[in-house]
Amino acid sequence: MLKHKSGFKRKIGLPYYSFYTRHFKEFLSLLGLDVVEPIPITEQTIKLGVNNSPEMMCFPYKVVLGNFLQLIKKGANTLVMFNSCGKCKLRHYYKLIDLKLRELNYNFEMVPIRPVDFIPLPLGPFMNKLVYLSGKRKWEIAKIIKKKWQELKEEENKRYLAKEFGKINIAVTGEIYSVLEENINQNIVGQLEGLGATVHSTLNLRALIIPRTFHSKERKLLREKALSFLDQSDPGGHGLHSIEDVLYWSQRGIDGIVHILPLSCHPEILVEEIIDYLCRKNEVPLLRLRIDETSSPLNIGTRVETFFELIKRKKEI
Amino acid sequence: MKCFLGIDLGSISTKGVLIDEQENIVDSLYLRSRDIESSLKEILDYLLRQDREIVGAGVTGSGREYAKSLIQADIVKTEIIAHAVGSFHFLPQVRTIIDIGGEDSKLILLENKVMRDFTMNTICSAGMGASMENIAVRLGIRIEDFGDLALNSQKAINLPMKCGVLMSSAVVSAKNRGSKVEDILKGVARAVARNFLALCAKGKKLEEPILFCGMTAHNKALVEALEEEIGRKIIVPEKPELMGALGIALIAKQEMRGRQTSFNSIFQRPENYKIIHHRKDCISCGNCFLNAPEYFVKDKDDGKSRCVKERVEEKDLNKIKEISQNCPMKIIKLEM
Repeated sequence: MLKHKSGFKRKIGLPYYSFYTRHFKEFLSLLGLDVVEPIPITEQTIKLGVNNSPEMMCFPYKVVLGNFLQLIKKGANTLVMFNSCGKCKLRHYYKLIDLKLRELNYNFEMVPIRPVDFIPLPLGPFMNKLVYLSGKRKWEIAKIIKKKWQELKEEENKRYLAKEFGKINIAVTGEIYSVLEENINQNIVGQLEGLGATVHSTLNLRALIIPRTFHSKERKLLREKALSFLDQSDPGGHGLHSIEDVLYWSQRGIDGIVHILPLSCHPEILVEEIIDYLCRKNEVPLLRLRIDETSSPLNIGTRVETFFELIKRKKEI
Repeated sequence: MKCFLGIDLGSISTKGVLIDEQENIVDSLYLRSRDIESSLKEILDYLLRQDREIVGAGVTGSGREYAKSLIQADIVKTEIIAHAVGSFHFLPQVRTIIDIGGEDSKLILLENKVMRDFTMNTICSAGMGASMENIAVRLGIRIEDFGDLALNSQKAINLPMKCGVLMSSAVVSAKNRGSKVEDILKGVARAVARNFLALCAKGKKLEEPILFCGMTAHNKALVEALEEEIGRKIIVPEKPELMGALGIALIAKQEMRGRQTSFNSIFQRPENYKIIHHRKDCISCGNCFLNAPEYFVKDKDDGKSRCVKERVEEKDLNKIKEISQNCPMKIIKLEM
């Protein structure tokens, strides 16, 4: 990590990430850091990202790059980025974005935060990064982490996890960013809820951060089962999680599953066949939506509406 | 006669169907879409003749939301559901429905009389009616003659798959090389059939009986090409283009169940609404000026409400309707 000249004032830029943005911003502000107001994803963001990325790159990369460009223009000089998600391309995003932005003649510092940073339990590397960024003592930071963690847990439980089954239940699964960020997926969850469905999901940030050893027994068994469809190894990203999810929800008698993925997401493409097979076997209707910069609200809306109607009619008979 | 109305507003054509209470088709009309309003008007003018009384109306297709607000239709459903219901009515044992429309195409799979799965083309028009029509125009023939001409062909030429625009430029170069028009047309039909299967039917098992809907089903060459590619027999209904409109009319009949229809053949454009306010009888209860301060104010002199804006904006329409219903003295009215 770099040493800065005196008079350097750090301004943090955070990429927009659904309802988590608020929590991240509050957390860093509590550490006494100056955070640039996160910019919600708009058409402008996507345009900026698409213009500066390789054509076949995953859609989230384009969005995050566009968002960083907007943040830098607003004065951010330290970019904090969530880094790795196993073996998928996300792991290398921060390096590629760093390269691209420097090529465009911007000066900044990139601070990647990885789930592995959380693993040695006193949060070693993660804590060191925060100490480096904020200059606060470790015990002060630990207090703030504990408080925010509790808040995050409550919000996640309220939104997804502690949901009762309603009349028509639909689970969403797939790649985490395209599922949670309603500005890029045309608010699929909102559309389904508007039609009258109860939408369930097990995708959340905590599950990503908490090491596997602390996962529930059921989840571990499902993971073993999911691994048996592959070469006993993780395809990266949320590929394995999607298979687990299909198994998990079909055990619970879900009415339908919506699989959301960015257009060229390799872990999700890899498991498509397995998900198709499992849904056919368990007779669960499946809707697959591929998200990219060309997907239009009308196009996705028609599919979502029809899928909901399909389930409703099936249940009535 | 009591009738149910179904209108399918597609991107290329607009279809209207009228059914009676025994689910028989009374009358129907197929039109090339111009703008939604004039197409709708023409359909309504044609269908609402004589003593036909509409007791339920449904709209479908890409223009459904706007059409609903214009004619106050009771039912709005996507075209996929409408096609499934219409085809199911025509052939109850149907397992696979192919619909190739002007600008989108869909494949619907049914099992045990329930819709099991559907796919719709994503962003490409290569397997659609519009690209066939485009080519017909470039070759200088009428789209209606496409099928019959192509059936005369002895040897179809190979055309590139995947892109409608590239296909039409390949057609022109084939013509310049001196290929026969019928051979080119047969090649086009084959390419469209392959494109449709590549876009929509990937990895799906198409069970018999297979029904083919949409205006493109009149094209015999396309039906033949699809049969060849799938390797199974395809059934084409007498009027394949009406399946969507028929379906939505049937849904309207099923879901109305004696409910009062809100259908109105006069277009309900919100900008035509005007507030009529008889302030003489006002008891200044506050219902209007508290809920819609931009339209009503409380007069400082006599305490009664006063209308300051007569024209109703679209976003406020429901609010004003509610206010007019809740007015204790019934002195606020909405008129066209």
